[in-house]
Amino acid sequence: MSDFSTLNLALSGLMAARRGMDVTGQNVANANTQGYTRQRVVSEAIGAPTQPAIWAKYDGSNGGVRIADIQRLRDAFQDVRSRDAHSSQGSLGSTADALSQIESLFPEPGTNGLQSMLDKMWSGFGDVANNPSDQAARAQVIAQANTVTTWLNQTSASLDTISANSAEKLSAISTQINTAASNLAALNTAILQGGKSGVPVNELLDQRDKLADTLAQLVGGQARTDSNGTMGVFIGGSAIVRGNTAETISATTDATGTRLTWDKDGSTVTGAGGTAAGLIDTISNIVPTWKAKLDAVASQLVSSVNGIHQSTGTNPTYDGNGNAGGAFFSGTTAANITVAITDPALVAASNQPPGAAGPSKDGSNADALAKLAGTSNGPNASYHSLVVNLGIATSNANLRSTTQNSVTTQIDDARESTAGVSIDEEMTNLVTYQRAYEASGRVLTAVDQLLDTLINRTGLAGR
Amino acid sequence: MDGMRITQRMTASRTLAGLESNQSALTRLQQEVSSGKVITRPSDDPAGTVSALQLRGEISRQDQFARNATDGIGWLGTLDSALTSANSTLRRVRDLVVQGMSAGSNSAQSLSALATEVSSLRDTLISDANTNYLGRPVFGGATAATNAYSATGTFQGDSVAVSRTIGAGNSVRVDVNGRDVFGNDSTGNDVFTLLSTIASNLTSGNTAALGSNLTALDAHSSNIVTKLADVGARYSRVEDVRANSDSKQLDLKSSLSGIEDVDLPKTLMNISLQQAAYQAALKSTASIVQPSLVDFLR
Repeated sequence: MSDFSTLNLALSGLMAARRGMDVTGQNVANANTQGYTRQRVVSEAIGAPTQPAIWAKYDGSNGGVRIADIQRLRDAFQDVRSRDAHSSQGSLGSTADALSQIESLFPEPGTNGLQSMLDKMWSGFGDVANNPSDQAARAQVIAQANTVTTWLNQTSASLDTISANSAEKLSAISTQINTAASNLAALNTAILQGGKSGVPVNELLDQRDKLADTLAQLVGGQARTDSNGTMGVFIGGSAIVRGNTAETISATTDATGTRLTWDKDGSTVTGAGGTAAGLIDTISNIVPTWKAKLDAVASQLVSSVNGIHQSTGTNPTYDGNGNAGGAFFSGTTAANITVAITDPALVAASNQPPGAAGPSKDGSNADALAKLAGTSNGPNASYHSLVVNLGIATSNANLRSTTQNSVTTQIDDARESTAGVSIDEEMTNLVTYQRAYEASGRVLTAVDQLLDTLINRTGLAGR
Repeated sequence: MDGMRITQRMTASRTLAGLESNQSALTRLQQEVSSGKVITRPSDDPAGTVSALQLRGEISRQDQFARNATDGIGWLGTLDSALTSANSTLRRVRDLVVQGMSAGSNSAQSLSALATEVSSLRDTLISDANTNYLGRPVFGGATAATNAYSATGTFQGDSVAVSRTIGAGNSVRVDVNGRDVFGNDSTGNDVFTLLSTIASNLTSGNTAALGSNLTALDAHSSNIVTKLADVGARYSRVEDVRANSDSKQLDLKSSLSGIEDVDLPKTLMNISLQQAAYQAALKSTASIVQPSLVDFLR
């Protein structure tokens, strides 16, 4: 141990303290950076050489301090939990979104929904029954029926639009997924090279974790870090990223339906989660379900009204011209239902054949049509069942989404608790490093004084 | 939270989430008050929504029943006055017949005057029988003809019943068929033929036949009175239903309001509570989020 080596020891302390302050500064600077992981200086004391040598005999003194590592304080298990939670949230969120959009097409209870349109139509038939010879009443009921069919047509078209928008969104998301995957693969390369050449890669690791988070939110899957430090991302067991290569996927709509497919072989991506799964569910399941229910209301309307309006052997009906009643509605689905007649005289209000003086003014058939308002299995009832089921489905989806949201927040909080920057802590560290620096400086001063004594003040006897 | 490391970002994001949820609860209450409705979309309360839909449908049906009843009252009221008028016409004819029967006191001339009056009363009766309601002869069934009887007293209506639905499963006939009131003209048993016979018997001075005419006339008279009573009974039945329908409407509307409408005192109370909570959160946020150790190091 030489006196000069003590100077080096003090220097190493100064440098370690400086490094600590640097890292603290980096932490403080990134206190609000999304995805940043706090870093900590891991220092270790320099002790005896591990290999004894003849001219380097260890004399028991110490060699100072050195920075062993700049650690990222992150918990890989929390990452996995958080990604799972975000994947579920992405899926549940987009499902709840779609249902809310569908629900908003049904403005119930209120005066603008189908219920009130149907009510007005049934009342219109009642008015025709009261005064079958009144052309205004007949024209009125046709107008009310047109309102009903137009609403059904538009709502069916709006459901298609929701589906089309989701498909567009899915296609946009597949692009986002591909970008994130290829960036992740590029980061894998950079991290691997950086690690080999000893360049600090902490910030790159943060970016990579952020990309893995993005992928989880968009399409689910699992991210695993390999032994060489690269990260692989797998969807349903198939790798979308492995090492420095990334696969691409696209949104495909064909006879099989709308789904995500691997570009490499065109096969379906199975086990997808996240927003993509929610969108696929919307397109292939949710929208078709409610469209079918709306179609059921429409076809029920057509069959029950036509069943009474159309003249049959057991139920002869006659229109205002005394001819046998025809179909009132045509079409079979919500998309194609229309009012089959435009001439008010063609409303078959009568069950009585025309008399000598002209068409009968009987209104009993119109009365029978008006009574459809109260039938327990009529169009009203099937519309009620649609609305109640839609309400339940939407409120369930909202509830699940809200619950998942709070779970995700908790998990993210736990992650932030480990990886986030605490200003108080950083300030404390800063003070600690500052004091350590001062102390090392003091050591330097002390050694300097020792040397001063030795060099300048010794051997001066007799001068 | 226990023993958990808390960072500034966590505090900030938690505070923000808390403020947001406060704000959204406040917005929701505000929306309830401003719209006046608790249920604004089906998912707010699926079961309540369906009850509301059913009640709205029921209100609309009751409305239609009330309109049908009003129309029925129009028909039955018209029938009532037509039958009353026909009855008084027949009573006048009876007076004239009794007058004509007082043999001896009548000269041929006065008998002929009686016959002329009977003939004109017959025309009055035909016009009673042709009474219209909104352009439809009330004794003519569902006929397209303008009048139930021709000028000569021939029935040209049909036998179709005119009914009004005034409640669920409650249908009331609101017309009376001409043949049921004035007799069957196809067999010559109608009141118009009878009046012609009376007139001709009076003209010819055949007072002996007037006795049997009087009996027949009384039979017609009592038939009309019976129909009048029947119409009166139906009128009051429809009227009852209409009056009931008003109170039923009120019941339905108050049920609907109970489901759909906002409970104002309760909601306003909740708003003040929510506001207090929100403001407290804002205040504490202002004092918690700012300071860190930075504020105290020199």
